Amino acid sequence: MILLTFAHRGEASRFLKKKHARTVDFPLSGLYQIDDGFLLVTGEGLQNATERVAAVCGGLGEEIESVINLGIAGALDDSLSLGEIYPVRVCYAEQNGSMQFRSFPTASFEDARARDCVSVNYRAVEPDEANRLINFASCVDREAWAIASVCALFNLPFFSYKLISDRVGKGQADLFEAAKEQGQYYSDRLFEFFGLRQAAPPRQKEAHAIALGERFYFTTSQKRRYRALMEGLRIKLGSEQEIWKRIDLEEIASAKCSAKARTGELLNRLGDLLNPLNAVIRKRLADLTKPLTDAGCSAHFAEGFQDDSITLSARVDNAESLRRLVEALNAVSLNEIHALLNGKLDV
Amino acid sequence: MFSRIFVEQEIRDSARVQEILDRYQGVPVSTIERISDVFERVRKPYLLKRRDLALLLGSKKGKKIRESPAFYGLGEGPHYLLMHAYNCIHECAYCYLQGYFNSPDIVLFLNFEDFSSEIETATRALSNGERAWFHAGEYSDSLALPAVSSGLEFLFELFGNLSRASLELRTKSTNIKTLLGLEPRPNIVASFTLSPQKWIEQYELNTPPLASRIRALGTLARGGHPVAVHFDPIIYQRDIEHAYRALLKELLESISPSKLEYLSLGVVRFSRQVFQQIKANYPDSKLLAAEFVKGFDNKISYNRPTRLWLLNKIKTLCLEAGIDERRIYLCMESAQDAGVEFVDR
Repeated sequence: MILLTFAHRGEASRFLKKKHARTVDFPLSGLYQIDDGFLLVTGEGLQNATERVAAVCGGLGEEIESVINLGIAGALDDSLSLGEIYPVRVCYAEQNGSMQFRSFPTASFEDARARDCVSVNYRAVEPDEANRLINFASCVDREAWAIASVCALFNLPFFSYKLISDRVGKGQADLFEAAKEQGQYYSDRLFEFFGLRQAAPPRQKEAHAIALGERFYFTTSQKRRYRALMEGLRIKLGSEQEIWKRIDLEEIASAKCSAKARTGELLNRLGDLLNPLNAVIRKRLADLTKPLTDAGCSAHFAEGFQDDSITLSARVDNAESLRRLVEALNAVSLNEIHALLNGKLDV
Repeated sequence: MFSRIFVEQEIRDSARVQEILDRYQGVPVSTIERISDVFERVRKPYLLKRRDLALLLGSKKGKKIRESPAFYGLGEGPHYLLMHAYNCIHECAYCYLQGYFNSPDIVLFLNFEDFSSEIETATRALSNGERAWFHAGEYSDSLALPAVSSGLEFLFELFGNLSRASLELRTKSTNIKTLLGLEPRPNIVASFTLSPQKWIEQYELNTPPLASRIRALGTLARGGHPVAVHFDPIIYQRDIEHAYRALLKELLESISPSKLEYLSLGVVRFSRQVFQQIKANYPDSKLLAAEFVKGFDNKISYNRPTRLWLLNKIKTLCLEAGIDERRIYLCMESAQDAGVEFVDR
């Protein structure tokens, strides 16, 4: 569901009426259930917007899939037309006379019409304020950055649309007073615009949830590697479906070993698929260390083969197993292993 | 090209600023106290450069040159990076600038005289027989922006008097008109970053095609300018051997191998911060269709056998094409790590 936010009730009035708003029983006032989601009147300013949007996003949890801020803004850039509505591209903020370093691109970033907006914690009307702020944005408001920052925290897509009500520093009326006085007119314009706007695509769920059943067990680092491999393979092959066409999951899942070891094998296969040179390296190393594995000794290499070291692990129970291990060690060609680790792949 | 130009008050009336403003007539101009009042004052998304790129003109305060990272260039002496400009009009998906600055806006520093004195001081500090390299092109493509031709003229005059220093102008641009009008200097090398054309189309947006870069390189060489080539970054694809063989053939049809001052090889690598930026900015790039690992130097790249296989493979192709082994070096990769067959810098 969407969450619509407005600074003033007047700007929201047409939406409240046309979308059949009903007050929600919530610890703070100004939250309504509407036909396609929720509507929140935040009040004016960064602090109000931050507190109220954060409370609602936290309280409603996953019910909120995207947040849309609608309201008025003052033009800093002469190329903006009065009365026009522009999507916001990047939200900046100035607080206590200092620009905030953090900025938040909106979900309209690619929209060619979109403009940057700076949110301030005072009513910007003076020419020197306009001259300073235009170095960073085309228009100025009181809330967008705060709402965007909460959306970033909750990983929610954020849209903001600003109706240009006046030109800052040009001796026109204070846009915030205007918002109160002309709220109904602005609300009508924003409602018409909103009706023509294309709905945002539904929120993307995690691309590849790990749902391979109980026959696999993922450690934290294995989960991280799995996600990275799947993302790389999605780019390489186009879809998750294409990946699974190339991996015999049932064969790996039915292997007689621990669930964690099966996961290790699955990751190796995915890695080989993503980078065929990895498959070559792994196969050659397996061949070169076969005498060791035959003798019950496992060989491990540095992560990413960053050095030439090999860590061996073996259990010696008696003189015979020691003899077999010594024989296996003598049968291994360290030079060939080092040549391979140093890029002699012969492919 | 630019949506706005910011000029520092103290140089607002200089001839160098005027030269640039004349070139970009019609672009709104704002006067500011210092570059830092605007540049990196806020985090500006990298991809804004596609539609809303600002140009900032000012004087560089603080250090004008910086020592290069290890294994940066050819030769025994110290290597320095010139900090005369920040950011680039090109858009390469692997570019480290997207994670280096907090803004894609272009900054040009016009206090050339201050750069000159720092370069001269570094050169005077050289030991007997030592030679210094100064590289222009680490923080910005050195030829892509035709804004200040007087900058190149200044550098040519300066290095004409510095017998123990060399200057590298590193570029992907074909904007060589100003360079061709200058008297070639044996210690000023124009170096071109080249990749197979398919790679350029995939990873190097808004850059000249391979054929144009090779043509520019050949034109400069015929005009008597020393030239060099960088195969950096090398990005793995299945047909890499065929692609680089074709690239070398095309290159050496335009210039004799003996005319190449040097050729550097480097495998694609990122800092963690740059890698995160690439994933955010180019989530569907084929560049990311690979498994990367973090090395001991904290750089993110292919695993070591893959990296060294790539370097060996491309180097072998260069040798087969007739390029002198002594002119090939590895960029930012230890020759020791890369095996004994490589000539260390």
